[in-house]
Amino acid sequence: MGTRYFSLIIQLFIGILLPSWVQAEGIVVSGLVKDNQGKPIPFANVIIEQTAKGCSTDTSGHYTLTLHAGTYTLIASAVGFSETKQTLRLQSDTVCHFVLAESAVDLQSVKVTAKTSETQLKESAYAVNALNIQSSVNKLVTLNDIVDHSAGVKVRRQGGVGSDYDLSINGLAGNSIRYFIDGVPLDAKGNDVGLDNIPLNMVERVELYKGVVPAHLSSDALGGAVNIVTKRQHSNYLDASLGGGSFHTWAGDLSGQYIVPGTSLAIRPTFGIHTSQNDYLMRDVEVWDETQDKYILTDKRRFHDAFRSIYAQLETGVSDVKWADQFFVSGSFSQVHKELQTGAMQNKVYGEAARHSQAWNLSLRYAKRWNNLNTRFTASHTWDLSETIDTAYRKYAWDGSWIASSGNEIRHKAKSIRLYKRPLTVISAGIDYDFSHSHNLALNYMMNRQENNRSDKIDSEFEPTNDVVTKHIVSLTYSQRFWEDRFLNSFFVKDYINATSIKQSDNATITGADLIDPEAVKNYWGAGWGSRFTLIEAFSLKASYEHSVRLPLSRELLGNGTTIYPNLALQPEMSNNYNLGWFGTWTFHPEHTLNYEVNGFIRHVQNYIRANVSEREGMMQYLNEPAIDIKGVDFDLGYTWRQALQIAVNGSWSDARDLRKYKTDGNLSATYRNRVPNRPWLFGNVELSYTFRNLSRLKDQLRVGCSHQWIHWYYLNWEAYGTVASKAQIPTQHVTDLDLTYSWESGRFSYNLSVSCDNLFNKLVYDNYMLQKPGRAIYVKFRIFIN
Amino acid sequence: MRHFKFTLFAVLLLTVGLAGCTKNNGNDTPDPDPVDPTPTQTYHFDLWVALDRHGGMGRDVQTLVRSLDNLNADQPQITFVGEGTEVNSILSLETIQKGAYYYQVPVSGDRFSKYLIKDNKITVVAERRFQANSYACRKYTHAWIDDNTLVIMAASGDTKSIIWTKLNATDMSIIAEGTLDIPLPPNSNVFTTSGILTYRKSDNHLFYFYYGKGKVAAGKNTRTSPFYTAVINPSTMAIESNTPCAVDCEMVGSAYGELLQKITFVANNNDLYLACYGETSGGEKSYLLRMPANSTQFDATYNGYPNAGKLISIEYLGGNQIIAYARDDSKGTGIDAFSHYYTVIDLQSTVSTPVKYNGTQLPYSSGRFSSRMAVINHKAYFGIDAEGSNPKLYVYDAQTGTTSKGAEMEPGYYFEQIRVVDNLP
Repeated sequence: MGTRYFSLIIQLFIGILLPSWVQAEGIVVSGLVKDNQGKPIPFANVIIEQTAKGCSTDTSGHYTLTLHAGTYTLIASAVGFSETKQTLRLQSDTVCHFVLAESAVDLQSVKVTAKTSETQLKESAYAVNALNIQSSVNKLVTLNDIVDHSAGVKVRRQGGVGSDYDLSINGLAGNSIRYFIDGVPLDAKGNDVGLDNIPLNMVERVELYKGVVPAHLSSDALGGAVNIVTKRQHSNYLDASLGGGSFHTWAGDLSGQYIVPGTSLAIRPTFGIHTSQNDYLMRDVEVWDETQDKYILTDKRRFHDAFRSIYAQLETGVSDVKWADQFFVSGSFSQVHKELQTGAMQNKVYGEAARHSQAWNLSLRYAKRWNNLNTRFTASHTWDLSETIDTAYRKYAWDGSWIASSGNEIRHKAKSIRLYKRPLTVISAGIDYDFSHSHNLALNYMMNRQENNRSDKIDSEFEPTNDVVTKHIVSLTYSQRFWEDRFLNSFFVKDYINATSIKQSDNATITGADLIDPEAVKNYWGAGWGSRFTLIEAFSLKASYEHSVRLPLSRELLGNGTTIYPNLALQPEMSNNYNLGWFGTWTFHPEHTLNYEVNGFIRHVQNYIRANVSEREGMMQYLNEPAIDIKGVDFDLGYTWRQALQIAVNGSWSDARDLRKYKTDGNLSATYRNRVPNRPWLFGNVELSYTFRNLSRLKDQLRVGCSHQWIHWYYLNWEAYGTVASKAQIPTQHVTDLDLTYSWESGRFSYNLSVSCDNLFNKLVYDNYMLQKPGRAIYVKFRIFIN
Repeated sequence: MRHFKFTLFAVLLLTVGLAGCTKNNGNDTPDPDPVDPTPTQTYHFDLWVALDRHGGMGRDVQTLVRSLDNLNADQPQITFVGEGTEVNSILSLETIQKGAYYYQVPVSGDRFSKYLIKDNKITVVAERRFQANSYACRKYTHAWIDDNTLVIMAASGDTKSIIWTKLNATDMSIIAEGTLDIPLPPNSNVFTTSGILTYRKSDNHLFYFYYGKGKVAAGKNTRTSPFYTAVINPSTMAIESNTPCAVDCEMVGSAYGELLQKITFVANNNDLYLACYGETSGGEKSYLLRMPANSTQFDATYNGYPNAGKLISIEYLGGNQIIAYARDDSKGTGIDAFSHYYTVIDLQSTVSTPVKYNGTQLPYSSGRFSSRMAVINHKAYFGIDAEGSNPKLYVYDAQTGTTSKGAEMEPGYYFEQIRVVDNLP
């Protein structure tokens, strides 16, 4: 009842206030489906590829569909006939006839298949993984957990939920990887919004570009990009979930869409709250024992690592109207409260330091196709404020005890509440023109301007500064399609302009403040190419190359105010990326499908930016390694039986070497040809799941899944130097996860209940040196989807 | 009876004597307990190196230590490939070393620790949790009152006061701790981070050198006072006097004490010397100040280093000689600039003579924040990271005034510290 009133009020509101420009446009596609003899085929199916939309022909073989303007692939099929496809660009009412050839096969059944968005993306010219998260969204996981199980990808965490993380794709890590949400830099949602706290319910899929990044993302990514694609359904829905589990972890997500009847106006609310105490057990940590008068090793729970994240977004706009294919405005708010438990190593224990941040964002996106000209524009401004509270003159220990200290916790200096205002403006625009079906030219531009306004509420000695980093990236792309899209080429050039205005000058020997031109504008060029050739469905080849430039992020240049020192002298990374891969899908029996993908890559990187842990300081800092050569291979193998049994195996190997022979002083470099330290170089995942269908009721499902992740040990420092016994190592990890998901439907309602166990065997695991990750954890999640 | 005993004793003595003679006369039989003509060496050298670039001042580099019995030239190039101890995750380059042990406030910043590096392994010998006063890793100064009493001192976190802790070096137990009773110098907001602490046995005083800092313009804190000498009673830690220096200068290191380089010493005649520098129109100018044995104030008329450039580190060679690591500012002032050289200074004549080898001045070295020299038996062992060359060691013999070549390292390493460490039995 309440829902009806709400709907009525919305309709009334919309009806009064909205002009007719939001009324939906309808374009009629109609035609006949005939056989080779010209006879009409009654009751043939005509569907729109990758949608559930379609119709059947009438007894005279005639069909009619009403669609919005745009490009569609129509598939006509009928029993005893071969399927036929036609791609149309709809600007006005269109007539499209189909002629179906008779099929010699006496079919027992008709199986309708269509390529998913993920498959389509894989078939692009770039090295890319597309992760469909639909099976994962039922579990209490984050996007980080999902991405971490993908081939060639490794997420390194400093601790539990909400802890800092570092993602690497094919050997390049950290901020070589850029994050986007629907093509807009994810930073725009707030500096502390990341793969850990984006509500899963709003996500359709995640695209992982390895190495070469398509120009439409207008990015200076070097090692790849993660693009989160949000849901774009054409119907009303509400998706809500609530979960909880070990370490006082709770998560609630809600997303939905309401399309005002009779219009194209969509209202999309999203809300997510994630909270965790992260009070997992730390093993063999040192505490002072008064009775024994010495430090002893014991197990203690983390006691100051709570994390709470709130994300709220309201997006509204119209689709498929006369003047816009897409016009949406959105406002979002994010807030993160995070207690800090340790520095960059676990022997530096904090008990009161914390970081709080909040961000407001307003953004607008517009897209419109004008005949052969496609245009898009996005603009976004974010008001981002974070504060690091370090006011306790205390030294904490792992048992929660403390002693009075002569300085604050993080820096052992005066009490401090450090404020960082980091307003961010992102403007992105692009036009592309189809000369024909086979030739397209695209021009893209992105401006990204971020300030770093530092001040301190209570430390009068701190000198406030405001640094500004502005990036302009322009790209031009020419794309080709030949032989019924079996051969694709894409060529692009990019221009990067980086303007910095640095005012901070404290800690110059560490930050390099005395080595830089504080007001600098620099220009860099990049270019690339990508091709894909499909011989048969079971065998496609793709290759790509990019000379890319990656400008340092504000986080790398300017630090994070707590555990990361600025490095103002950091140089942009430059890289030549080569990728060669082959992939395919082989359905060797109607019930057995095998898919595979193998990618090899070579990266020659200059000024490789590496996160360096300073054990002495308990801090991190990003440093340049002048010449790094990375080569590697990753593979992905999947097997499906009856859409029930799924087995996936992936593995990655990479070898990164320091190739700088001589240092700037003319002396030989000791690390020449050494493996770059502190990065995982060999790892793999195995996933197994089985779905039991039609259990007690039709459409009930039980999915049982198990995964195992393995990471080979690696050295913290350069491997060749020092005796092996004295060298610090990040040990081998074996982590096994288990999950059960029961799904059932009732009318328009779908329900899921999942139970998962992470780190089933309670292994002691590290991603970073001396920073333990959680042990065994059990989570439960309930999700309801109303269509 | 008494006669019998005497006779027996005489016979035994004669038997032993004859047996001894017989043995000695058996030409080919070696003496089972020969007297070693050369005394057993009781020390070794710990060579600290960096891989990536010079360290110090918070620069994060990979640091390794290798123990060597000698640094003589007649050995293969020293390598760290598969050799030496990786120290980064345990020890900082900034360290106190005495006898066989190293002493530090480690990264955790919650304790005092005592370490032993032996057989490529770092062992924690003793640790003590802080009590009232706490210190940051690598930001404190120290002095030894005697072989077992170590005093650590630094500005508090807000740098508004100077805290101290007296430690028993055997078990690192805290003997006493407190705050120095000295005011902030006029026109100053804060104390310098660590200052310099030293001890003179002859008059049983601790000397603490410090100055005040403040903002004279927007930006960093700079020195706003002369440097002061606080004379401290080591038993009570009471301030006996606190006077500004008449020479307008400051200590060449004031943030990390003498954890990286040595800048003060007491000569055999109990004169106390301190390396300082001041700003002049031509750049930085160094001074080597002297506090006579019977005084607690510096002699304003004395400057042991009238040359241009800046003293970085000094080591006492005995008598009137010191060896100094100095910088020629005309060659560059950066940490990695090839502008540093070794020079021998006569404290009496104040004549400074750059060290030569085979009649030629040694090449300039890079690296500022460390003390790549050590003195033992009136010999100075020092390292040079020269441009376009592998690192080389030289030995200056103060008694003969000659320089000889020492060991070499494989290319690619940077000298950080050379420490003379006692061998454990």
